[in-house]
Amino acid sequence: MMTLAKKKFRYICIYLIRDQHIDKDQILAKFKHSLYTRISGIFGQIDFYNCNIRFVKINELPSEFIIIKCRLEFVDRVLLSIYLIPSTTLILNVSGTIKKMKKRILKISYDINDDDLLMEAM
Amino acid sequence: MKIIKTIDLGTRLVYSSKLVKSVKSMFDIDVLGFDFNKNYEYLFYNHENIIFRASCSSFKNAKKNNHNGGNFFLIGSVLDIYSMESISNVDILTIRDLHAVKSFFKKYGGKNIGMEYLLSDIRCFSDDKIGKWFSDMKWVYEQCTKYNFQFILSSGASRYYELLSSKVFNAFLLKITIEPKKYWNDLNNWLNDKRSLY
Repeated sequence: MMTLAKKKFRYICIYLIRDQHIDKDQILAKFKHSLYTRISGIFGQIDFYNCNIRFVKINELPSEFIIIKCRLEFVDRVLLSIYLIPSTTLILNVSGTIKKMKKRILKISYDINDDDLLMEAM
Repeated sequence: MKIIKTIDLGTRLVYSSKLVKSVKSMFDIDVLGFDFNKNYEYLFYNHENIIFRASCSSFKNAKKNNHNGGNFFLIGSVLDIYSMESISNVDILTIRDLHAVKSFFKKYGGKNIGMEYLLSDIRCFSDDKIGKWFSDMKWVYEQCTKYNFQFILSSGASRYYELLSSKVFNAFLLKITIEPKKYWNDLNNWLNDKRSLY
């Protein structure tokens, strides 16, 4: 008898640092394009499609926080590719559920919105 | 209590207690390395979870200013094939050119020097160069184990957004085929050795 194992996913939370001169949708579109190009460039097209990357929209979170959903087995590849995009992003957390992720983001959002820290980043 | 600490020895950020706290809570990095020349005014306080990096020339000055003696320093240098003399008394060497390393292992083996690679350097590499970098790192790690060097990966962050979380560090280590637990354990032991000699 054939069993169908349920695919496991992970949620990666990243923070896109705003540039006041560029529209936020434009920043996100540019980020998506860079990420897809980087993953397929480093790990190849097969792994890129196997990663099953989706961008999850959560209304309660500020637009700077972006949630990326991907297959558990490929989470390291996605993390590396995000880091290896020369853009102003912070990789904040990896979680198994959206609920846990939201809880964690609310906990650290105070730090991330700290003006002193962002001064360093800009 | 966490026994094995996660460490990012190579940042070029300016110290603030808020920064250290935030890095701990957001990125799960316990110990941060700061450049002494950028942060000398903070020597008056004792910092348990930070390490100062001084160059050979500024180390004497750093020790003199370390009034309460509670801070820990590592002497660091960037590997330059044209001035190998300065290498013998350093704790940690930052490698930017892989070609320079090949002749280096046999000559300086057994001195327990830390060999540091900065991840910020590879962010702007092309895809094929990144592939080569991973393969080179695998070779370097093997040589480090063979000749008793401490292999070190650091962020090299000069901006806040160049910092990495422990999960991203582990992803890099796994891709170089290094077991993360072993890496953090070895790095902790190496730092403890250096601390005991300091």
